[in-house]
Amino acid sequence: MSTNDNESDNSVRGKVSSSLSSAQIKGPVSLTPTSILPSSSGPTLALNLENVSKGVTRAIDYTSDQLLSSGPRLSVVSSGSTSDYLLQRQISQEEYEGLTEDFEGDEDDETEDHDTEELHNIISDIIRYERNNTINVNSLMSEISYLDLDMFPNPDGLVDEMAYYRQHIEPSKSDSQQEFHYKNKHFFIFSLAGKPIYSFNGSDEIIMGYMGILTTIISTFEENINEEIKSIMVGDRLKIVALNKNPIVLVSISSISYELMALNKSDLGLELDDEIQTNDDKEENHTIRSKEDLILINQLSTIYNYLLSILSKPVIERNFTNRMNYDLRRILTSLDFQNIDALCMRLSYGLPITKEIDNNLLDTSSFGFFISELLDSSIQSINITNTTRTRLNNILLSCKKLKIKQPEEVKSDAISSYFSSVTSSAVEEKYLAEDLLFSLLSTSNKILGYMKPKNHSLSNDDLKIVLNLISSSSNSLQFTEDLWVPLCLPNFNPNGFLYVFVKRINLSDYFKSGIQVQPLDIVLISSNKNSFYQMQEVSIHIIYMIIKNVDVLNTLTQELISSSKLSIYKDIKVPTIKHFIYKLKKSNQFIMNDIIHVNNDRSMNSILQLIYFYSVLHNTKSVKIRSKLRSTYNKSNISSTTIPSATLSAIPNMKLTYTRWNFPHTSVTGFMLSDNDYEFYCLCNVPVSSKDLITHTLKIIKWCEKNKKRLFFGSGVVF
Amino acid sequence: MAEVSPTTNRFAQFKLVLLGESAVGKSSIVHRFVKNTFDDLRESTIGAAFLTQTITFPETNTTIKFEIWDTAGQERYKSLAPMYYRNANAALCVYDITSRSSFNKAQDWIKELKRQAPEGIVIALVGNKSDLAEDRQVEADEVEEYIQQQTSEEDGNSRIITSECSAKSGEGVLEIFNSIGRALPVEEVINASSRGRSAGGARQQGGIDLARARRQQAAAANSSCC
Repeated sequence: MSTNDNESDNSVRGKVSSSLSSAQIKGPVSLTPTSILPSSSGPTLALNLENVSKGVTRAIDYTSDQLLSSGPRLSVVSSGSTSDYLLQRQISQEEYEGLTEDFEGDEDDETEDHDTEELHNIISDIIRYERNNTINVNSLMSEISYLDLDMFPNPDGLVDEMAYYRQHIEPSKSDSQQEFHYKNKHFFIFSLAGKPIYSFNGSDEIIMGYMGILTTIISTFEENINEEIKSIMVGDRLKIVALNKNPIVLVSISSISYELMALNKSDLGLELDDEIQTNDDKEENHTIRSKEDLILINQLSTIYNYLLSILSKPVIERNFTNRMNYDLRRILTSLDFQNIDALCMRLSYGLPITKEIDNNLLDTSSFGFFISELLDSSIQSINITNTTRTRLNNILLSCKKLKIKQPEEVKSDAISSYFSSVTSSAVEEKYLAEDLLFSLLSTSNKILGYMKPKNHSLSNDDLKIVLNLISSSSNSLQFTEDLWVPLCLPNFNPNGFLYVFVKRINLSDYFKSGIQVQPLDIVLISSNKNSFYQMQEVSIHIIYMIIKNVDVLNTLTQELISSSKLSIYKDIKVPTIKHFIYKLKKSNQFIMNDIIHVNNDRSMNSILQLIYFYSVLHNTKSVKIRSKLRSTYNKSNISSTTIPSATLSAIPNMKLTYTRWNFPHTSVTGFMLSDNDYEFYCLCNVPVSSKDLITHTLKIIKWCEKNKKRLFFGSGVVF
Repeated sequence: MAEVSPTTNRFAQFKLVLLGESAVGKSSIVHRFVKNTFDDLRESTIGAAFLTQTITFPETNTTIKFEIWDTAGQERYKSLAPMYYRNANAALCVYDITSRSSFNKAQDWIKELKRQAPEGIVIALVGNKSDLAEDRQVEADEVEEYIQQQTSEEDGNSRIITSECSAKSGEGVLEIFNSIGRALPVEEVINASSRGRSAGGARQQGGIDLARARRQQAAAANSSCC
């Protein structure tokens, strides 16, 4: 696994203008046979360890081939170029098989202890080789600046976090070429005819030329070699990725290190975008190559989905069928551009767009969104008791049973009858919420209760569009108004609209004392654009059901107040783990604790650090990122120990990744453990022994498993 | 029947819709009216927002509750507009006095309302941003001329209320809703509803009967655009 393996196959394909001659263009057929481990089918063991420290790269691969060919004993292959020692670990296959059984039977306390011991052995072997640094025990991660991490290019060597933010991160629509080129990240949307639709940075004047070049490259590939261009790597620090959604093209240009990593996904069976998915075995390499671009491709898909959600597919297509040079901006609004800006910011940095970016208590919903994207569109859930969740779900369900009396005299008039729900003279009954398809109760972008029909459900991507709608209108969404918004949910139906009713309620209004509680959002999704008044009645019913029972109101309010602090820190003692994410794979939902536990703040600096640490922890597998880590850490004189990934595929899909970043006065340890049911990620910013790390990790995992019903809303209630 | 009883508070409810080009300040007018607030950085409305506010006329001891549809001005939401004005009792067609195109757009809305909306709908043509008078593009004379022309085209029974206001300073906002309130058939509704109430409609409030009659007409006229 060396850097060279990867670079050698970045062959230039197709005709490229001379200014890009140093770039490596990857068409769909380029190969990376060696940079990614073969996907495992059947019991394989792949341990991939690397130790980067003081300019020395040590890489040790335990590859499945080696395991299989060498019989029961494991041999160790080192591909590190200048290893000053060789990590030799010999594990008998019997040992691993034993481990497998243990994990299967983790109901038993004895075997659990054995698990702990085994994991402890594995991790301590990894950690043993770290140099002992003198570390200030009381250090906080806030003493680290995100600029100390190898996240972004820093050509001017800026050391002020705010100055760097203004120069390289914050989107700017200015006329200045220099300002434009300083930005770490660009997003463009344009029509295939080359008409600009959106750009994250730069004024029209600045972007026009670039859009022209990009259009030319894309159409040249399409016309001359009948291939769609996917990505262009410029050097090893800049990547251009294109997503062609004829008649719209989306392009992202990134120089952000954690976005240039390949995803460590070879055996997860992840969902690939239609365009890059291939069933042809011969094209497996194409798929692998695409995975390297997947982070950016997913970002572009999210933005494209936003466009679909507000316009729907037929509207986009119709406009362009009439005229190829149609200007899509004509039907987009300033709010849409603000929303896309906010989306780009969340996708790239997990930060909100705000003038008060130096606020130490930023809104962390953007951070939650970033983590959600990182974990394959996992939805963030919220910790409330199962009793409360069941009650809320039952309230949602009861709406479907509400009947209204339909007055006789307007019965014949279908349209009028929609508005007659409150009239008296009744002869016929019908269901009030007949057109109601999905209901959500949410708070701060997290779902509390969810109701859906038997034969339909909303994908996580669609749910995120709905939640995003609420968060993007939360400035204007006040307790006094009800929203009624047509929305296309692309996975549900890209060709039509659903109608979303949103009402925000403030539970503290129902208490005499000044209790502060986060607002609750009622979201009702209807199939009928004329059903606003029915949905309004339904929302009144929901509010009534919540407040009429003092017990429900009190418990819900109390639980909402304490929900942001995961009660785990009350329940169990895990002093070393400052932040964790637990993802339940089955429902693709995750929970994490408040970022405030890390540095006692929710600052930009803390958010960016967490984003970096979790991205590396999640995506670790890349040859490229290692070489970069090495070069940067040499420069900045920070020693770092990174063991990208130790994969224990012999255990049913059990994997662990241990990563450690050392800084002059502190260190950060990242740890990932996953099996078929969950993924667990955590960060520690105090020195942690392997024993504590494993013990605490397993404690949290056990706690999460025990409290599954509290932590996850599951698949909701079905009518 | 129409006698004013000073002891009981008389109540009527009306639906009002705001229409107009994007960014003329429809939501700002509504928020000035409903909450007496102004937000310089107000985002554009998505879809439509539903709000309520009441005004009282002490001289007749009448309370009017407005159910307000604050619609998005963008073109792509246009297909939804009929749902909002279909059973409206009043419409505010808003333009920005510093934008000629928005004035033309407001005229288009009036044209559409006359064609599609319930008969008898009270229409107000409102020029917002009167605090920016130095950038004015729409003069009072032009508005007057337009209104004259409109009135002469018809038999004169549908007067359009005209007014200017500034949601930012608050000047003129309440006056618009007051004049709409005075132009609405309040007595009719109250009388009709008291008849309805005696017939046993406990939840029924003012505006329903009248609105229903209008709805049926509107529905007949509109059946194609639903």
